[in-house]
Amino acid sequence: MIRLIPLVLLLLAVGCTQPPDALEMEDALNLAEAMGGDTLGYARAVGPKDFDFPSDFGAHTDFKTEWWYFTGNLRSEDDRRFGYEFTLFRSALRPPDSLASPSDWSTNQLYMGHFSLADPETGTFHAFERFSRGAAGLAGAESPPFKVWLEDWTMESTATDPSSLFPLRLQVAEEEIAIDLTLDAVKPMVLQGERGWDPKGEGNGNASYYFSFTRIRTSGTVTIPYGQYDVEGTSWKDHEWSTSALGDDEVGWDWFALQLDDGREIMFYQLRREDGSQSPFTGGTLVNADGSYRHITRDEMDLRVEGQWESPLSGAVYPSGWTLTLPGEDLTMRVTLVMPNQELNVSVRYFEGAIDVEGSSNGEPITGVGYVELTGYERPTS
Amino acid sequence: MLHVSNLRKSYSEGSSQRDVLSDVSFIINRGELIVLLGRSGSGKSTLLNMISGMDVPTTGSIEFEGQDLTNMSDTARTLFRRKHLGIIFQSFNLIPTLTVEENILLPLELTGTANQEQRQLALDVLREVNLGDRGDSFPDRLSGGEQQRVAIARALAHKPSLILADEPTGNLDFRTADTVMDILQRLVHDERRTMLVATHDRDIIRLADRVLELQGGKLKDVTPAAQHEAAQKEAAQQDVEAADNASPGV
Amino acid sequence: MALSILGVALGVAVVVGIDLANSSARTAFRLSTETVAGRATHAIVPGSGLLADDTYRNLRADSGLRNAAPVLEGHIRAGSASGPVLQVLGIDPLAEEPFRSYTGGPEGELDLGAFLGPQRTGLISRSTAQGLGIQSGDDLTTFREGKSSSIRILDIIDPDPGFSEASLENLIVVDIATAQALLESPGKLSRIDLILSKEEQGDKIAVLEDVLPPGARIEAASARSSTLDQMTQAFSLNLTAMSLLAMVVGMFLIYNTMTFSVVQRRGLIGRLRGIGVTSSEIFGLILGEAAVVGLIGSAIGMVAGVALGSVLIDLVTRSINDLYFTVRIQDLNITPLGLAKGVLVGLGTTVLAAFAPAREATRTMPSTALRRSEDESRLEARRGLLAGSGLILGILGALVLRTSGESIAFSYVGILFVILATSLWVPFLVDSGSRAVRPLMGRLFGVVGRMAASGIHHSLSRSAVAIAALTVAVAATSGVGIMVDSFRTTVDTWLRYSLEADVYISPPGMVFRRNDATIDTAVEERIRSMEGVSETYSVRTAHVLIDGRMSDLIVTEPRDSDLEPGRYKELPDFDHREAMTARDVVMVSEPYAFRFGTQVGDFLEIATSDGPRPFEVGAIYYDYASDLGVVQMARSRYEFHFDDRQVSGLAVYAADGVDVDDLIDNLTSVTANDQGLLIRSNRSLRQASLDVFDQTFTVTAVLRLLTILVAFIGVLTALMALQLERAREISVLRANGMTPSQVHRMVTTQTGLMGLLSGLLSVPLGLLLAWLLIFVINQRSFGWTLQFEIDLMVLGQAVLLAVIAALLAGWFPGRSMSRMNATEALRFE
Repeated sequence: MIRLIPLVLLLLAVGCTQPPDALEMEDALNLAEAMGGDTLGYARAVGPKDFDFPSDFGAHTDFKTEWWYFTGNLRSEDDRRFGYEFTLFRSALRPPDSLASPSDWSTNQLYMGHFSLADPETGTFHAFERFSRGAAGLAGAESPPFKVWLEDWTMESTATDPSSLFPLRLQVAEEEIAIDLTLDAVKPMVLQGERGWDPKGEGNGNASYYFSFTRIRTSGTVTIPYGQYDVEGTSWKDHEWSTSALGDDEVGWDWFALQLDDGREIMFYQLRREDGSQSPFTGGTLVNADGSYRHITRDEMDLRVEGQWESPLSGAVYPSGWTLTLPGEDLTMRVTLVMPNQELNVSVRYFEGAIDVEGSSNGEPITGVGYVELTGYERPTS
Repeated sequence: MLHVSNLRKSYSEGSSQRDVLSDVSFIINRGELIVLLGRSGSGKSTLLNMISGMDVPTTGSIEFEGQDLTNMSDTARTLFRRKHLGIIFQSFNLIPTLTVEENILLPLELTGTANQEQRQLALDVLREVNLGDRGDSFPDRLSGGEQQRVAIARALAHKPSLILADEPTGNLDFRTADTVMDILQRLVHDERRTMLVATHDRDIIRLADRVLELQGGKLKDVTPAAQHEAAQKEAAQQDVEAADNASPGV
Repeated sequence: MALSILGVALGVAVVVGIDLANSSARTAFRLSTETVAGRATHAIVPGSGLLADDTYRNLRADSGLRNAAPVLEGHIRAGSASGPVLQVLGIDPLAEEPFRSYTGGPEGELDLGAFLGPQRTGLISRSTAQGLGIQSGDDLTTFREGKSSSIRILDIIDPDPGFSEASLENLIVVDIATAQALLESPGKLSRIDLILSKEEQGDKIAVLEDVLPPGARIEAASARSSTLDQMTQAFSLNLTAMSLLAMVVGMFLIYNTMTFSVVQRRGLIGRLRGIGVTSSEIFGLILGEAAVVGLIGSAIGMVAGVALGSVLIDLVTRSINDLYFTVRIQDLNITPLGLAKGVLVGLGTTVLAAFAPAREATRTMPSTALRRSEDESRLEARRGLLAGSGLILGILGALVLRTSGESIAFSYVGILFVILATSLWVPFLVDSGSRAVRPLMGRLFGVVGRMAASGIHHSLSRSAVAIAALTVAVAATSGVGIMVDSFRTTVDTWLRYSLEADVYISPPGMVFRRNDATIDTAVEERIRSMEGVSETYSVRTAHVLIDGRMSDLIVTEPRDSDLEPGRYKELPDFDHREAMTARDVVMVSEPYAFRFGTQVGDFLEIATSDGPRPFEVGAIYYDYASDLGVVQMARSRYEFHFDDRQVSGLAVYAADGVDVDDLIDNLTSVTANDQGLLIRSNRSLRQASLDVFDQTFTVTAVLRLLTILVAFIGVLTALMALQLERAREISVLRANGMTPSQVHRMVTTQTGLMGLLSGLLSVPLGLLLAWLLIFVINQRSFGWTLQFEIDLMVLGQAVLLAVIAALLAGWFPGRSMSRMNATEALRFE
């Protein structure tokens, strides 16, 4: 689904127009702001296009923003539950140009990596962030063969056929937390929106190119300070790229990826507007067990918030439970977080939470797992 | 030979003027021995400084051998002094960095004309003061009396017209004073050289032709020495009588 | 008293000035290395040259190293080819955060795209911008190795709180990409900074060392600045010693003045004792007085010292720049410690010098004043004793020099003893000398001459001290002068036989003596193949790790003249020239052998491109270019072991019949468009080298002048004291017919004679000092063999200087003595 860096929304007119005052280059390098900024000169997603795989698995550097996003729910042999998120973002700092430099280090691309691990048993949520320039081999995205990396955080295809995406291996480590997972998709790719072109706001080009792999068999190891665990589970992959997807009046979204035990998946996002109302661009996708899928409109989905949680760190108040109903499918889903605090407090602040699904479909009880992403809930900065 | 006329020396002290010497006039004739008397503060030193040309009066004139000292420059007066004057000080004032012989020849050396003849003369004078064998010694090796004798020799060596002396026997013991007196008598008085001596020494006063007495910057009396002595005796006598009368029954 | 305050002030000014210049220069390096090192605890540094930048990638991507920051440093000139030097600090802003911070106001944000992008951009501090006359947004033209480039100033930065503004002075912060482009080092880094916690250090270092490329190693941050310090240690120590000399001369001055003041107030002291003041109280009184003089003099001296320091810092930094390494010119760094040292020196020497006079004062009897002549006779009697103690002190000094080993500081202590020993001999020598010369003086100048000569030994306690002060000062000047001349002659001779080619070509570098800049390969080709050029020899200067130390490696092509034995200090029993091309054999320069105790036959471990290798030392040769020491290797061996193919300089021989100046013009026109090279004839290169040499010694020239000035004041005070004491004598002389001009002439003759005596005494002392400076100090500082050139001119000038100084010093007292009213001290009562 759309996973835009929330601060793009802020669209500060930074850069050239600032008075030449002294500079801030520590801690929050205001990278997020650096990653925002002018959208002139980039390619835009103006309409559906024919994708070219495997090369479209890699980077699209003429677009401003891009990410490769993985989430998953895992269980160890002794039934210990984990939820992970591993995303690598690419942001273009400047529009593409023909300037060359004798140095390998020169680049217009900035990479950001997010890694979070939810450990509900201990109630701990680990979140990490890294930055690197997309040059000198420090970070980048290539395909074929598929490899996206930021220093030693890697997403790499291990298939013998170089044009094949799966199986792929995720390796992330930070301090004492690490994951090393092998992923293999069990269902084919889902092109979101209209054949992979997903409009999100008014105006030409406020859209992204977006496809997903909605059910991926996962196995590997999770390492936490207490030890290393062999795990198995299900993951979800999104790859999306765009240049300013959101409209001016949209402040954030609530995005759900639900993987039901009857073999279906539902992706649904609600775009929230400034005035609190729901944007008409709200929508989603329903994927059947056989891999066929259809678009879900906002009218089809009834979304109700069932609780709130206030972050002690940021003060943002997030919804903490939902009921999603698709009457047309006779599907009711109660969505709950596996643990309340799954907020990432990094240079951009958002909530990425592993969830449990419990509900009924056609009268039969169903369960499932998934992930919810909540953005745009920060208290406005004074 | 020496005419002092209407000599006045005054110093300004703040807004007022102080006269150290006022209206001093006298004559010294060739061959005379004049004694200058006066207590401290009487202006003795100032007068001697004027006559020697080391200082100039505020008004008045000093004529020496027909030349007016008061009209001459410092250098001219110095040269004049070098040629015509011999000075004997109370505290010997030999130049410590010169030998006895060199000290004696000093005035001549300063003129640069110390030839062989004059050297011989100097040695003669040295012998006259009975120090003929001490020519090469430095002053710090000589006793007080010996130094004074050398000073006298120096004052005489260049045959000056006038000799000025300030308490020549003042720092000496009785015996040595006697010796010096002898020399003065022999070399100065007997040779009929002109000498002006500031002293309290009775023996010198007895030798003098005249006595000049300075009191408060003014010349009080100019009396022949013999008369002066007589006057002194009388004054002393009166004092004794007064004392006798003052204390009855002693 | 005013004069003695002046003397103290001058001495303190010199000491403080040099100290401030030295410490400011040192602070400059420290700041530049610290700012640049930031909070790094360690760094991965290459064995030689630069580090390949994929080392960083490997460490990040493969080893998962976190607290690491890549750095590429260099220097450029801003604005023009002779513009101010800027230090370029190339960094990765994304890795910087734990290492260095440049904070500023709340408003500014770095345009990361512009910073990282292909356009060359940079950040500078406010004061640097002001100094260069540019603003944020302007383009700055830069020059390096004869080529120009341009950097756009993106923004102004402020230093971290806790670091002074000076830490960012003349520094430009750029992205690694910009640095690699600007410094023409694509794919390279200077080092990788690391922050390793105490726990990590042991294991992590071992693990990292395994994955490092050959030659690279991990170095602790503190090691780097101490290396720089060591390089200049000898240089700054020698400067300090010279400054202290001025203070020593000042001590004579103080002694004289304090003695005089005691004598003047003898009557007062006698009366004080009479009313019950104890002798220790008198002692304290005199010392207290000296302390006040010392304090006031030191206070004035400090202010003057700061002014002097700001003049000297320029000279000192420039010398260091020419000789050792690039230093960003800093302003004078005035530390409380530096000033305190000055006060301590001024106060200390004043009180010390006043010690003897104070003790004299305590001997004043309560009753009458002791006669002045008794003082004198006491000194005259003691002169033998003093000379004896002088002898003992001199022997002691010689012993100290012998046993002080390598220590430069102790060597100076020994020299100090020698100087003091000579001073103790002065009374005896002056006494005998003035007595002996009296008849001659009489013959030449008449009675005035005789009085002049006797006057000296008559007031020996005055004259001896003044003569001693002047002797020491003049001897120091001529000693240093002889040393510098000997040095210069040696260097000149060496330059004459080392520079054989007709034309010398090199790119302009930052450090004159250690230029590792390179000539563009294409340009090199063009030069070699140019018409009119018959032969070309190349030179490469590289900085390489040798025996665990970064050293200079000179790479040369063999020439026939290499076999001339006169160039070598030590030769092996084989053909070393052949050995250097056939095997791993190198030569070392004399200073290198001295610094590290290397001998022919030893092995040096040199970090080559494929790891450390042993090289045998084949010869030790004379080299005066650098006191740091160099190792010389043949080109063929260098290319075998190192990946570097560049050249730092070319020596060109003109073909037969080709005019050298024409050749230079041709070479210039052929290369000018590509690289602005320095193309110089043999003669002008020699001259340029000597100019650098001369400039280095400009500082010493300043110091020598100041020392003479102190001595001058010393003589002046002595003479003025004499004047007061001779007032009566002058009166007597005047009474006896000495004209004022004759008085003046007498004083002049006396002071002239004093000057002459000082001058003559200064000759043996000066020669001795020169000998000690050349064969002890220089030897222990740098290890050079210098020809001892006794220039009679220098010695003659020394005597003349002493006479003139004395005459000048005597002029004013002489004049006032001659003008003195003859009646002043004379009383006719």
